[in-house]
Amino acid sequence: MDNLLIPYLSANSEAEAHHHLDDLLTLHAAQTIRQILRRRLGFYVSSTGVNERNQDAEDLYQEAMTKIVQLLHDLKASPTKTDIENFAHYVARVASNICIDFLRAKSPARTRLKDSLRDLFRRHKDLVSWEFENEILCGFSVWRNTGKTVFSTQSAHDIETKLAAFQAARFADEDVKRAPIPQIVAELFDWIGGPVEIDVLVRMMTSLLDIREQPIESLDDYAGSFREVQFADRVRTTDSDLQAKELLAQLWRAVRQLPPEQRDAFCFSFEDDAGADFFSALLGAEIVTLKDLATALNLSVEEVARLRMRMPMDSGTVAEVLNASRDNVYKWRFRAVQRLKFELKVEK
Amino acid sequence: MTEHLSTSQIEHFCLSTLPEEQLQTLTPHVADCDSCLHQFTQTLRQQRGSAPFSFTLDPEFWFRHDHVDFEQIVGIADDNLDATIREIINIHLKICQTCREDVRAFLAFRNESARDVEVSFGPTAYIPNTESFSCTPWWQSFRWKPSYTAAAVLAAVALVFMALAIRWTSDLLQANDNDPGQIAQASPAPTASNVVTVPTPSVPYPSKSPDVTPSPAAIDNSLTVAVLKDGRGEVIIDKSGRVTGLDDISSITRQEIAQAVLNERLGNPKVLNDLAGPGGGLRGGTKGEPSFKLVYPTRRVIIEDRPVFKWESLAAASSYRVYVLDSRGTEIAKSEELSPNSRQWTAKRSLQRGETFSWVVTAVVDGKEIISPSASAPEVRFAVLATKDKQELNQLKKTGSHLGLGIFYARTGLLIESERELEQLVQLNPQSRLPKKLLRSVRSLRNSK
Repeated sequence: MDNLLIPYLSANSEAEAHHHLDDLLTLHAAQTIRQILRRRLGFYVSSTGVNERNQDAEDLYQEAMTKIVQLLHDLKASPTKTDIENFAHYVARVASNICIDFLRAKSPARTRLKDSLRDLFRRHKDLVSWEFENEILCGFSVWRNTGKTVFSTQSAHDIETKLAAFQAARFADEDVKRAPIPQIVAELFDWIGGPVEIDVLVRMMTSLLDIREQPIESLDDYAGSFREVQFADRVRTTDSDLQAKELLAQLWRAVRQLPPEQRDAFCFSFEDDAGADFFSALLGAEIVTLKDLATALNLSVEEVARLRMRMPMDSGTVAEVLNASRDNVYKWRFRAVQRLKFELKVEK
Repeated sequence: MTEHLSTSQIEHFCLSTLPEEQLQTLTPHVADCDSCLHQFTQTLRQQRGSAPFSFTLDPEFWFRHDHVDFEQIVGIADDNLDATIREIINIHLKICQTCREDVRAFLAFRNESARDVEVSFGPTAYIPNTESFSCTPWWQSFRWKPSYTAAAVLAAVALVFMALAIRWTSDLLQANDNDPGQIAQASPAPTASNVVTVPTPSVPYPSKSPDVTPSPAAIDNSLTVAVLKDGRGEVIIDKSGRVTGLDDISSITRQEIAQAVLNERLGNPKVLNDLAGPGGGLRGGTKGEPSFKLVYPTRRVIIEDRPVFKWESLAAASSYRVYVLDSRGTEIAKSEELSPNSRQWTAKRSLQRGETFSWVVTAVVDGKEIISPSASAPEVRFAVLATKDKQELNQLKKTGSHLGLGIFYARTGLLIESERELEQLVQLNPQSRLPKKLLRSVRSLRNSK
């Protein structure tokens, strides 16, 4: 059994067990889960599992935490049943599996179909989508701004069953998979007889066109964007504290020379190979103090601490913090990286 | 806050897992207190462990999680992205296969649907129905569709009109029955007063009933207006103008096929009007003189660019000479003096494709030139199929589609060839009315020329 777990498993009181459980979660599990979510899915949550702009990220974080809590409870109830030699690895495995399940359910093919339909509704004069009572509905343009029919409220199974009738009625002599998408959409609208939620339409189209997702065996096999990419031109790797400190100091000096927007876009997004955010790396190496950071960024120390809770941040969060558009954040960060490469004389 | 932080607080402070209010109160202390600050940095190092410090400034790493969203994909398709953003997206696409596939799929959809988005859809009117889902039996669907109501009313009016017409003008009815164009005009059509205006489709909708036996399901449901055996398989045309089963043909020809099928008739090729030609006044010849006729090419479009000019013989002619003129009347080719037995001559060089020409033959009889056509007759013109049409023809021939070839030939003025192809289409589809109507249409065009 991992020694980390012993205090919790041997706790004599509920209060003591709760205290150790809290430590296990916040001091050990949370960081690992955050890092796995970032690296596997590009999902960023704060140190308390919050990302108001990404509900999926928050949900996955909570799901992982819940599974770990359940595991620890089970372990305490029957310690001999399971043996965990490395708690950190176990947490990483739980988080990775949750990421895999998420990707399996994410349905990129369905997302692509939805993108195509959204585009169609923009370009076609007779087929449109609109927002109605916090839902995105779609239909013929003469239906615009009206509410949905009860069709959308049916179960997926009921809709699936009715689609067979639709196909028999509207595409009896034609292979629906070969029909143009606008035609199929128009036939569906006509058949339903009123507006429908766009997600319901996507589900129907997916079924009609027999769109299937590529199976994902594991994250390593999933040759997609979520795979951790190895980058060849890593700036520096050093085993010496002294070298590390000098490198960080050099980086910090260069960062301070950047225009404020570029500096902030870089600092807030930075993540080193160990998963540490920029402020933590600087503070841990004693390059700066909290006050130094506050002065350099023209913030209070409390604001620095609050920012550090959310770091490293995804682009959307940086945009929110800087009250800027995401495109601007992209540009600032891009220019910052280009300039720092030049300043630090990084060679490809 | 003057008390130092406990070890647990320091640990939580390092991990930023303190509750917000504690963070708010403890942070100033850590910032001011050398002891707590020292403990804080030591703990940060411990938590980091022995992992060496390294990082990358590779842009691909810095934008690895910035997946391309819908608006950006649209921007790529519309080519209206800011240059820097485009560069950043390209950086991301280098490493993100999913996004690459997203963009590829989207662009493919844009390409495939480019023509389809021009086709109009939609009900003629709509009464919002939020109470119940209307997947009702087919017969009930007639009830709510105003277009059917309008059609029924107009059909009734048409029937009354027809009955009156039978009584009063049976001759006129017979004439109409033989002319598809007049039938089409007699069909009911929606008017602004009984339907909500829908933008005009780029491909015309059928002006009369489609070439399939109407059934309730077909009336209500099917968009297919024709299914024909043709060439190497089956050609299907729906009322949106979509042609299925004829791959590798140009969009123009595809559209022409749809238009001809939906209208059930062929358009009048403009080029043939140009070939009719005015009466000549520059050539010699007087009444009472012997004459002879030019046989080929006459008032038609030809496929070959080195035609074999043919004419009838003229008794007592001692020689012939052929002259070819361009549309401005400039001589561009002339034969040598041909023997009296000659009935044809082939131009020595190719004629310009897409151009209109005229030609004459002079025969020498008793030392006197007899010209055909005579001065009082119209010029004999012909046109050579344009290069792009020739290429299209070559492509169409590969499909073996009689429908496609028949409509193509008709459009380009090759009416004889069109008739030949449509005859074969009729043979392949003896039960279908559409090929017969198209054949009748092309014969009508030939007769009018």
